[in-house]
Formats: sequence, structure tokens, C-alpha cells
Amino acid sequence: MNYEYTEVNRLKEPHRYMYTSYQGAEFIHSYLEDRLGCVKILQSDDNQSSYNPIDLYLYSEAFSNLEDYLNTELSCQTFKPIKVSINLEDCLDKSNLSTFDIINDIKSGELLTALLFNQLNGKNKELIKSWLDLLVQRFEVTKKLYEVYPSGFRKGSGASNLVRIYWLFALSLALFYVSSKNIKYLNTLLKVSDLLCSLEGDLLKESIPSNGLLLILFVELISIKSLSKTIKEVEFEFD
Amino acid sequence: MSLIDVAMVAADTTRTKYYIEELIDNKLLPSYILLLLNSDEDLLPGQKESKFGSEIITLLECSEIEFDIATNSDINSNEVISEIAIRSEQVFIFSGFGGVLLEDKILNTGKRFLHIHGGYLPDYKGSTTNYYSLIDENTIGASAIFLTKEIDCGPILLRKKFAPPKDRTEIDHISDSKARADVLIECLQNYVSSGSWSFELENNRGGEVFYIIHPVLKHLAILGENVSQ
Repeated sequence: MNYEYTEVNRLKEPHRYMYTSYQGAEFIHSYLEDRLGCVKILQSDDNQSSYNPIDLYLYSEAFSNLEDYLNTELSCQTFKPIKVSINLEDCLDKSNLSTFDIINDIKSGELLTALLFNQLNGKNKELIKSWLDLLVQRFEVTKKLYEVYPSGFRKGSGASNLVRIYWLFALSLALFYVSSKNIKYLNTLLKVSDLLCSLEGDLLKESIPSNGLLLILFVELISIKSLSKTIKEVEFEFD
Repeated sequence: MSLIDVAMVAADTTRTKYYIEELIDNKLLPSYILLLLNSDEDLLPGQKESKFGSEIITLLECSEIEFDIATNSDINSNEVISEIAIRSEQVFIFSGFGGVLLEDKILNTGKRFLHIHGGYLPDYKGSTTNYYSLIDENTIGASAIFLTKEIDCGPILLRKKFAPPKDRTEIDHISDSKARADVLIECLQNYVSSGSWSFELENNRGGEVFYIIHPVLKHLAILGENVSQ
């Protein structure tokens, strides 16, 4: 069985996920196989230091934050992303969430970066949820995230094919799901991961840190495994 | 008995068929039904097969409920709004095609639209919420509300939780519709016995808004007898 949600480039052909059919336990296995295929491609990337330093910092801090969660399920050391340590004090001014207001134009990349800084530092929890819910709503309605959201935060403008934006969004969703266990955020994370995994490996590797996407995919897989632990037909192990 | 002040606007979906069958069985007949038929070959959200239109018409003819076929299948069209606005009934049971929202111009007709949301409010707002509640707490739910401009935020007349269905593979078209029909009937029975619309929770604020469920989670909800964490 093919996992249709990553079969074509979902930046170009978004999936609406309306009235999806039930295909039995085999469907879960097709999902798992597809994700592990994406993992394999990302693990072949040995060029981990040439990315945006902010992204490497966010990845590194997110890994530290999620390490305990990953350790609950991952039995194989080779699946663990490599921790990156860099100094990035000059980026801390980007973390002030209260400077964002929907009456102004908002750049998605800047908003997501600020969201992540706050999530990783355990600050402004209500504000984080409020902004994340707006982004979830925009993504779920259009299955895209735009470079800019003009005043009102409704219709986006600019590019909607920026891989980095989707990765930052997925990282934010992964962190929020792990801390809240609210399935709403895992639901959107699955869709964003579908989109990212539908892209060519080379495009992913040149746009985002491979370990950063691996981290998200492992969080997602562990979460699905945890939710399916009482379902006999869906047993799976990472080995 | 016929509910003098209650009409219905309904699309030819499995849910509408369930509603009408239950209304007939419980002798709670709306005084009038405006039926929206899908004239396209492609099924619309909420339709399992294209035969329901004729089945619903047969049901209505047999039960002698007054009905019309709407001149436009779009509930927000000017034709449908006019057809609703000229009726004397003040409350319309709403059973539209899936995913269709009532626009301001129809909400501003002065009529009230009684909608049964598939989910327990205010906790589960939005789309496909019964799959989420199955995963979270192994229940499904339904809530009767009067529609307002904000989605799923109208005052709650009645809400109920139900045990999970034995066959989870037909939630979209059967279990969800049955739960909603159960709440609709009880809500109308309350109205008949008291003579007025009473509210279980007028302040339907808060809760979480959910979006259409990803197929992986949908499968876990169907396959799991209890997948709560």
C-alpha cells in the first residue's frame, strides 16, 4: 500500500485530508515505512554545520528539551540526532513575543523563531498557544504558510514554498505537543511532516538542518507509537 | 405531532436521512422541510451515495411532511435565503452538506438555526472531533446549539456523551449521525414538554478548536478500543 500523502510534492499539490477512507492496520504500516524512508535519506546528510546558525541553535536547544521524550522509546542509538552546540547570544533580541501584533504585518519566520525561543525557555505559555493557534488555523485552512501575514492575520502574502518556515512550524508543534499532549498539535504536525517528507531530499538538505527534521520525525513517530500501544495490529519497534 | 414553529433545511446526506427517520419514529415532525439536492455527479461532503435524495423524498411523501426542493443547492444562495425568510417558522433544524458554514446574510434573516454539532461542547469544537474524543477519552459526543457567527460557539441547548460505537469504521456516516439524531430528538422533546427552548450552557466559550483529522490518527481512533495516554 502506498502512503499517498507524500507521493507528490505537497507544496505544489496540497492534500485536503477530507473524508479519508479507512484502510485497516496496513495503512499505519505504510505510514511508518514512508517516514522511515525519509529518515534514511536525512541520515545520509553529513553536512550539518553549513546551516543558518539560528536554526542550528534552535535545533540544538530543542534536542536538549526533547531528549527525555526521545529516550522513552528509542532503543537504537543510531536514531539519535547529534547534538550541536553553538554560541548565539546576538540572537536573543529576536525572542520578544510581545513585539508581535496582528494589527501589523507579521513575518512568519520571525514569529516562529520568537515562538521557539519562548517555548525552549518555558516563557509566555499563554501567548505561545495563542500565536501557535493562529498559525495552525492558517495552515489548516490553506495547507500553506506564507512568508508574511498582513494586518489581521488572515490572507497570507509572499512566498508559500519556504521549506524553512514549515520546519520551524513543525518544530514548534512538536515541542508544544510533547509539553501539552494535546492531539490537535500532533494532528497538524503530521500534516506538516507529510509536506516536508514529500519534498526532494536535496531540497530538504539545502534548506534545513537534516538533524532538525529527523528530530521532528522521531518525536512524531514516538508519539504515534505511544498512542498505538494498546492496538495489537499496530505494534512497531525502531530497530 | 407536527411542530408548528419548527421547520428544517436539509441536504441529501446520510445525516439528514437519520434525522428524518428519527423525527418520524418519535412523532416530532417539522411543519416544513426545504430540501437541498446535489445535482452534480460528484458526491459532496456528508454524502455516502447519491441515492439519498430519492430515499429522503420517499420518506417525506410517506410521512406527509410538507416539503420543497430548493431551487439552489447552496444554502447561502439568495434563492434559498428567500425561501427560508418567507416561512412563518422561527426555528429551522439545520442539516447541511459537510463543511458548509452559514454566512451572515442567512443568519441575519431573523430565523434561528438548530444545529447538532458532532462533538461534546465546548471541549471539542471544529471538525471531526469525535475521532479526537475517541483517542482522548474513548467517547463520542453531540451537542445541540443555535448557530451564531462564531463557529460552534452558539448557546448549548443539550449535550451528551456516548459510549464508543461497536463498529468504528462507519463513524462518519453512521455513529456520528446516530449520536446527533439522539440529541436532536431529546432537544425537541424538551421543547415540546416545556413549550420553550431551554439551555444547558448558554456561555459556550473556551474549549479547543480541532481541524480535520489526519488519516493516521483517524486509523488509531478506529483501530483502538482505548488509546488514551
